[in-house]
Amino acid sequence: MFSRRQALRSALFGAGYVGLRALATGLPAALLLDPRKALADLPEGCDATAAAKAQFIIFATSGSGDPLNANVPGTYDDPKIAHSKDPAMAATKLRLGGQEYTAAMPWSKLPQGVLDRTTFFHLMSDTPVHPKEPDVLKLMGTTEAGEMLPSMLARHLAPCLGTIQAQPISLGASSPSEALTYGGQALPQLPALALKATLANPNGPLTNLQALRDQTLDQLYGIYKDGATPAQRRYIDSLVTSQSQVRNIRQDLLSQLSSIADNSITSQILASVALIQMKVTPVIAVHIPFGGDNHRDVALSDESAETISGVAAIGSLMAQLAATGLADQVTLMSLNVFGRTLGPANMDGRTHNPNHQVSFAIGKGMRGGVVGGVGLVEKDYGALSIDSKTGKGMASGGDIAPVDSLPSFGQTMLSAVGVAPTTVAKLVRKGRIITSALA
Amino acid sequence: MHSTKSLILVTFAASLAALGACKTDDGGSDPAASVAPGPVPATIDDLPSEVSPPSVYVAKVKNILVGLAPTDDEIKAVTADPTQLVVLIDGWTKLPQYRTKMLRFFELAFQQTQVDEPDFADQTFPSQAWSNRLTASMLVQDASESFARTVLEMSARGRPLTDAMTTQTFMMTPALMEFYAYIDSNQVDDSGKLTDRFRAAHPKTNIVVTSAGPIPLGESADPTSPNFMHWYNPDLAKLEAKDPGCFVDPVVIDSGQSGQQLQRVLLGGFNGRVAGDGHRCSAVGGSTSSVLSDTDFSDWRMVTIRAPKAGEKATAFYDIPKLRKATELVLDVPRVGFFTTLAFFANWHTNDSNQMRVTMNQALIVALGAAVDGTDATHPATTPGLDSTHASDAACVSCHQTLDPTRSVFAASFSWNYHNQTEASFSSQPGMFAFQGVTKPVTSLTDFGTTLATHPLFARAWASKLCYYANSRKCDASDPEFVRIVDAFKASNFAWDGLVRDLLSSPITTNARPTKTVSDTGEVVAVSRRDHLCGALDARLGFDDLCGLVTAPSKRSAALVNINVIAGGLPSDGYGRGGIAPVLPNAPSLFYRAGAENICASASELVIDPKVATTARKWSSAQPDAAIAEFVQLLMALTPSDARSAPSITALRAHFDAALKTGASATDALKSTFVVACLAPSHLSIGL
Repeated sequence: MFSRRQALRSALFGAGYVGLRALATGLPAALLLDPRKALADLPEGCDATAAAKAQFIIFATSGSGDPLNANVPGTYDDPKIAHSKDPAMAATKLRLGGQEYTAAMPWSKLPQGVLDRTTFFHLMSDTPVHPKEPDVLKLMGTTEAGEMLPSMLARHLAPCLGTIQAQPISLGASSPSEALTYGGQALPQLPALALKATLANPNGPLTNLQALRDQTLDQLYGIYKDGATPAQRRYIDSLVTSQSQVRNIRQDLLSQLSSIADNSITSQILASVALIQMKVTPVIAVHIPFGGDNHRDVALSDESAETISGVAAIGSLMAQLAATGLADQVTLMSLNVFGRTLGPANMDGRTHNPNHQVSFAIGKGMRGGVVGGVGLVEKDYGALSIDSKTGKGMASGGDIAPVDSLPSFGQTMLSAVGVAPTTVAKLVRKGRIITSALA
Repeated sequence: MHSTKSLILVTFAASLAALGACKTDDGGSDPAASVAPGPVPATIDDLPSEVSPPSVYVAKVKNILVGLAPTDDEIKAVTADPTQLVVLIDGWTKLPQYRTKMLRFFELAFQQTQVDEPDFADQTFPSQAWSNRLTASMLVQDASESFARTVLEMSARGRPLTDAMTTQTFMMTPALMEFYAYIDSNQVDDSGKLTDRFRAAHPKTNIVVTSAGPIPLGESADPTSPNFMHWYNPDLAKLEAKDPGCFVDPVVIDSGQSGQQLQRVLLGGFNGRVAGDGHRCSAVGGSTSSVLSDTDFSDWRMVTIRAPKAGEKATAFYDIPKLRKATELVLDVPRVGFFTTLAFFANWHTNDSNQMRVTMNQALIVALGAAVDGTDATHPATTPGLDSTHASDAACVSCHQTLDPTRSVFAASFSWNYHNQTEASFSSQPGMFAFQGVTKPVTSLTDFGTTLATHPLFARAWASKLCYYANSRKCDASDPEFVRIVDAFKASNFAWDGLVRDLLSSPITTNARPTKTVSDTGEVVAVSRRDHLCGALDARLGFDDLCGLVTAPSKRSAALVNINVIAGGLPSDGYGRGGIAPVLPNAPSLFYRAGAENICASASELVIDPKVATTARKWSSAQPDAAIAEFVQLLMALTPSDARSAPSITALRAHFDAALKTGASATDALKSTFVVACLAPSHLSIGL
């Protein structure tokens, strides 16, 4: 006969002391046993529509204000816009969403299947200042509680994707300026090399004793919580959570990180794909160089070289996603602090352009094409108004003013990955969803 | 001592209490809250804040200051008389570990770190002035440490912190002096035109490198010697074997080559050479001796930098014997305060569009803890240097009307590559400091430094920086306790150690009694960030820079490479461009937990029955009880009188025994026990 005492003992000390751990930590036993499953079982925030559209996000961002905006479809219609003379950057036709556009040659080399789900957004970030990168990621003060776009995406995608953690991971931040926040808390920057060394779990006697260590640590957590202040208890709870998260990382996929040898975009991409396969996080931030802060860039040579390598990196990412069966589950999107000036005086370098920044989004939820456009603004070029239904740039009219194009981009990205329109409107107070960009 | 039963009951009650206070808060500020359902951190926010006992705050303060764990006597002393904390702090600040911790603090706070070799390329235009990564990484390390060491030295001499704004004397090594002097000899103007003063002075002199036999460095640097510009390098044969035709003894770098080639030779590098058969020689990186010795990178002394007198020449960068003895450098490029160091400039590049605005803004952030953000009501009567484009744009003028006149002193002094400004329109431009209530003409960098030093925001800014470092949060500027600390700092004539004593013994840090800072926003318990965690491991285990934070990459131990890499991904106290506060990730993410575990596991290999000799403490698995008792006291910082100590020892001993039962060796069992202690909440946090 199974006595009450035995039942209690079994609940507390059985299955890796999970009952004791639940008591000590205050977290449900189900979460400790399998956080991912426990979260996946929660329907809140993940209805059928959201589940169908949920995507992992690789979020490319740069606080340098790269000249990405200078070489994409939409900037080749006005002959006065300065472009590199490098033959490898020659204006080249390509098809997006069944329509023909012109862009720098590297873009045309992406596979048609990728171009078919690639949308370029001509936006206005409304700042020429590098330190405003966090503000731009917060869509210039238009988001609920000042949340960053990648963090809003992460918060709403985590339940549907069943990721180990909801917070984004920043693999590519080249300085603390590019660090992300989540719920007001700064998130660490984790270079690819550090990620590899951090998650490494070498075979050996110490690894064999890991489960035993976790049990002892759970006991210690209980000891520390005895008499702790609320803040101290909260911290210990976070340690319990992080320990469970670590143990839920798929060890069989860690070997994919073994070839990481540096912190380059190639390594960031490799790490991103592995993290997605491991379902660690819904959003991974990377930094794809597209020419950097190229004030002095004779013959736009840096811009050319990094546009070529940047688009190649995108191509490589798409190939890896296809090879791993993730092509329909991952969206790549970009948002930089600002773009660069475009006029004819910019052949040896470009300055900051608060009026024009180009974002791209590549994924299953995107209908290939170009949203918005450029026109003369002040002494250079800036983003035009946008018609949200057609996505066309409008010299006059349009229901999205240039200054609202950034929050509209945010709304559109949220919508693309399954966030309900009413929630989108709550999360981003300005702008509107650009429906024509969505598949 | 707690029994298991009482432990369960207590924790069960705590869990119930937490459950009772549960609420859903989708927009909560704690990262973990968004993931974990159930009684998550948000449940505790509504509970009243509690004060911390001496066992917690003595451990916190000692950890912050020196990385060490407290002793029972120290806890008892403060328990009996809380004022004894100040006495203890005074003692701790005399320990060598205090200097180590403050070195890192000042490196970060003065924004002299977060730089790598390519970041100096603007100052060494047109390309990097080194090709030997071994010496280059040591030089970068020296550049990063120099100003922090300067401040520590000034503080040790009783000088106020405000001297950091105006000093023209800096801690330097001969290698760093050489680098400063080299940059002085290679002037780059606003249009990128290079003036190679070495080559101008010696237009027909070849640079000869030979392995034929040692050449006294004095002769190599003496223009009157037949051995002038003849340098000894014993590794030529080795290099020639790797790249035939490139390093035939002697290697002659003809007079058509720039002075930058000499800089490379001094640092043990060759590149950009073309062999006799026309092929381009491979670069030499770290495989050859340098003229500068290892000691040249570690022989620190205070060096005064001054401008040349009439007819006087600047210090020759290649005169190594002279540099080794020197306490004075004669340079054309002015060097005043933290804001003109090579490392600060490497951190904050400017250009012909930015025109020193970033440099000025970052200088204001460092010195005064505030940035130009368009909200400053300080409007100067005149706006010299105001950019005409921005002056006509209402959206821009609010920032530019203060930033442009203020940065004029930089633009008047330095070219965009941080050499002497030769463009008359800038060099003649007067500066007008206009920032946060202070408007004052500044005609020199010394003027500018003095203005920073006397600015009303200075004291508060540095108390705030220390607050972030110690408490992982902002101190409320209106908190009467913080106001008292700031006022005391001013009254002490900005004595740094006095500020440290005041803030670290304050309830703002100890949470020994309520303060407005804590009451308004709650107590913060944060992860032990990179500098604190690594500092604690060094201090408690006896390592010399386990994480490689103050060791040049080329000099780090191979046994520690993995730890060094992981440490690179730990949360740090770094500042971003334009950020007036450090970016402080406080929550323990899964990556923090995983990284800490791997660091602890790697450290265990070096301290438990170690096979590799290190400076660290060692424990024998043959004496597990003694080792475990020390783990609890040393690593977990729980003294014997702490109620958590005995049950922790019991838990660790049980772990050791259980590990043995799995078939693990005693060594592995004790290593695993060490890792548990290393991952204990009090070791992985600030404030437990």
